[in-house]
Amino acid sequence: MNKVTYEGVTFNADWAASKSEKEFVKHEAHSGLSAEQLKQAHNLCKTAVKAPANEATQEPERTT
Amino acid sequence: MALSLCASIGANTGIIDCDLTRGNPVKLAAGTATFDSDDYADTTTMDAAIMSKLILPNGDSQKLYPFPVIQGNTDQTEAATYGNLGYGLKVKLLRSKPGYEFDVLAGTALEKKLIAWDGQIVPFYILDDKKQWAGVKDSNGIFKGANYLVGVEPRGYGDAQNPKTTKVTISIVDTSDFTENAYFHVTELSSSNIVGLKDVVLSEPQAHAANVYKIAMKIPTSKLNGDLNIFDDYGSAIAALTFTAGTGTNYGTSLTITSVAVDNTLKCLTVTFDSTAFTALSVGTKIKLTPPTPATLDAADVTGIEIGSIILTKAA
Repeated sequence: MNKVTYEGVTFNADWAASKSEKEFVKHEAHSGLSAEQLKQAHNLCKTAVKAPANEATQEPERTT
Repeated sequence: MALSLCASIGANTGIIDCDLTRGNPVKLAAGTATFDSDDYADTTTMDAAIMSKLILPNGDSQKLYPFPVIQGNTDQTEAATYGNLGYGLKVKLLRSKPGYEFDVLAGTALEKKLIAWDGQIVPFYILDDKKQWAGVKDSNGIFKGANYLVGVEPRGYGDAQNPKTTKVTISIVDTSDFTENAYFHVTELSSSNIVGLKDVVLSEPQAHAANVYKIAMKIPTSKLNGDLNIFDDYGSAIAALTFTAGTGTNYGTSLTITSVAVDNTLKCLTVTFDSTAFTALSVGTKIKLTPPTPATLDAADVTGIEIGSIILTKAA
């Protein structure tokens, strides 16, 4: 499971990335973070989920 | 051609320089942990294997449970018995049976854990002050603890005359485990490395609000209202690790946890479940919340504890 810890809250990044920003902010509104902070956390989660996917699909560097 | 069986008895009796001899016991470690030849191939590998078995979760058959440091030892070995024949020849009838009474320092909370071993036959490893970790080796080369019958006597009230301690008695089950089967790992570990874990119990300090649960983490003590909250020491570190949850048969149906946060007011964790999945559960559904394992905690520098799982109920 991909995780992102932001301002003391650890988010399930896989779940977060599957939700829209609006859905995520509404779902985690009780966390004590502001809406702006939650949007930032959502972005970080999406990035975290994309990063391992990108590493898996990148071609290896060619050497001559 | 041999004319007696003496040539087939025992083996050569040449003295090995610096042969191992037992020292004074300093620590007992109970459990069915075993080590194979790959584990004891060298000191470093074996020591790492021992350490890894100290932080296995309860219920793992390879887990080791260290007892407190030994403060005193009273030899309670049953002496060998002999009989005399009519003309005076002394014949040994029965081999001695090693047994010992150890003094250990244990508080009332720890005594509740130690007393569970009372009357049990338990494999024990014994660490002595020569850094020798004693056990037995079987015919397959597996190194394991020797079986002892254990007794645990709690510390009584003081009498202002004699020091009082918790008493742990051990009596070996198979005397051949003390000699023929006995083997020793010479360790780099000290008794301060070989320590047990403290149990942490999860609880709900207040009723849940829909899919959001408050989870407290405390070490039980024998003092009323004196359980130790580990939040200040480890709350943030534990919140950053992975919890899992499940429902249904054997709690095998995963329930997604969307976030784990610290609650600095209640000094507990806030665990949030996926609201869609949670809403679909019927009222009264049991949810098993499983915390990170001792090994995962240890790797995150949350050392010396094991957090037990908790069964939550969807109240509404």
